[in-house]
Amino acid sequence: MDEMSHAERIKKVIDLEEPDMVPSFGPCSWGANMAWDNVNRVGKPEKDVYFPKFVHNPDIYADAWVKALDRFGFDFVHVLVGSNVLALPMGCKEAEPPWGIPQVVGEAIEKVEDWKNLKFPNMDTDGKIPVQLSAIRLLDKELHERRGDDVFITGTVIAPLTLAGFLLGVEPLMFAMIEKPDETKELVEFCADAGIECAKAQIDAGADHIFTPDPTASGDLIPADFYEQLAFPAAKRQSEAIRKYKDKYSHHYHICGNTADRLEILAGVGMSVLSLDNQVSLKEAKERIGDKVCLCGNVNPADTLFMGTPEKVEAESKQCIADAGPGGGFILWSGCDFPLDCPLENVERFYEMPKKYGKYPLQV
Amino acid sequence: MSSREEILNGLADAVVGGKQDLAVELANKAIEEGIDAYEAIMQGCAHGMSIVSDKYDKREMFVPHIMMSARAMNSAVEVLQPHVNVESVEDPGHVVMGVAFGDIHDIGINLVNSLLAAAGFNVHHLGRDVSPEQFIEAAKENNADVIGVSALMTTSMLGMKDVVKMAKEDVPGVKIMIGGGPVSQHFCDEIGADAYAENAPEAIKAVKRLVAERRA
Repeated sequence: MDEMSHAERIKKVIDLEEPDMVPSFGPCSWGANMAWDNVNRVGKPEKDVYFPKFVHNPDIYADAWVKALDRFGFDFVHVLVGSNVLALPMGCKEAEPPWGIPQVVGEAIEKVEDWKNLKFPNMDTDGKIPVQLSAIRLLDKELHERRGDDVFITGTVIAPLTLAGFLLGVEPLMFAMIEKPDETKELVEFCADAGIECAKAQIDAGADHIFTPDPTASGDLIPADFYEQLAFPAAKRQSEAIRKYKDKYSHHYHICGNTADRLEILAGVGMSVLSLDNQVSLKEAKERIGDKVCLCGNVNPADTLFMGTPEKVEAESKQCIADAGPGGGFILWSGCDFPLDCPLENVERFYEMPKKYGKYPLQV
Repeated sequence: MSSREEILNGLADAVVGGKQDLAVELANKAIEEGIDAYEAIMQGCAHGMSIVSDKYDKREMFVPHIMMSARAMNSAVEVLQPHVNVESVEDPGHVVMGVAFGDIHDIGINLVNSLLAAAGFNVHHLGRDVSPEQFIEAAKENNADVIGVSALMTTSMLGMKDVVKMAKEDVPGVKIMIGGGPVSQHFCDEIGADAYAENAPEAIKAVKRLVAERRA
């Protein structure tokens, strides 16, 4: 089969057909290791560019991703200047460790019903949203316009329930789900609205694809019926809005934890791509929902990518391709974000895997 | 069924069901009926929480309902604790707990702390974002048997290595337990920690074992 462009390959798998080769999703925050001379200091305490500088300077950010793309050849470049860009403008406090993803450390509201007092963020001015948008514009200009490369530029919006957890605090959110379900739904829907506007702004800036991670809706935290009643409706509405605004290829939903008891519910969100935690068997997911949605995952980020050897990375990646690759409809990725100090040789080996084992017709 | 059994079973059920008001009512009733407060904590509250733990393991209960249970248990323990005859209770072990440096995720550790307290351990919780030095200082001050470190992020879990290293030098003999999302038995072995707990009930078992080892 002739070699496809990034976008051709991605669209093929989202259409649940066989591409030329299994596409691979870019690492998220690990990209900081490609800023300036950081690549020669992976895993070492001293850096050329520390994290706060990386996420406050769109030119450094975009430059790192262009270098990462050239080096690893994955199919998506990923823009996320922090853990999320909405919590801070909506009233949370954030801490920025020198070498770590900025973290939300203070909540915006004390009671779930106070969501009515939350500020709806201004996408042009608030917090790090302008940095996020500038980085996307720079990548759009360099990759899409100047190079004519159709690689998918991925923007990021935190999924509705998880944003609600940042704003209220995860523990209070857990209580609110039981004691004030109606107000919880209102808060989550409000979060979905903020996310939709933020996604549109990123698409306007040049993003092809919006990644919405939902760690607080994790299968290890909330039961399937809570997911269905409190997280699902807003996630579905957000997914529809993103795809309506851009196209059927534009929404990527990631969920953490063991979600084997709710795979069919998840597929109902309607996302273009569903990425799953490494606790879920890709083989089982493929059998159950592989005819409904393109799957993405799920090499173990801690034991394998971070602490394993390149050989272990290779064996596990090969298995993922064997489990979910047949027939297409699969993107190779980690089970969650790459740990920041993943060794370079593991990351390199990981992105060699589609070429080695992922060419169609599959040999694994 | 005797009134005593009814009260203790009722207390356990109230904890499992996350019924805070009922748990407090039954704790007060236990005191009125002259039930030993320590027994009420162990056979009522802690027993209830161990049922909750089993249910979490079997994925029959999830975090929102566990939080309700933990709250009911804490409220009942608050009523009972002042009535515990301290001398009659064998010293069950001191545990210093905290979330690793650079990490603020504390849902998991709060659950573990509730269970440890219910199981009768003296828990000294240092909160979130705790430096290795703070762990060691608190271990000295509280004559700790076990230091428990939790991390939800692959970046913060690296700090566990320093806690183990410093503890070996400054508070030899103190056992280190680690847990949290990205942590594994493999990582535990690699950094030389004494126990890895995959979940809250495993953490309680691990602490029991480590305290026994430490005092053997």
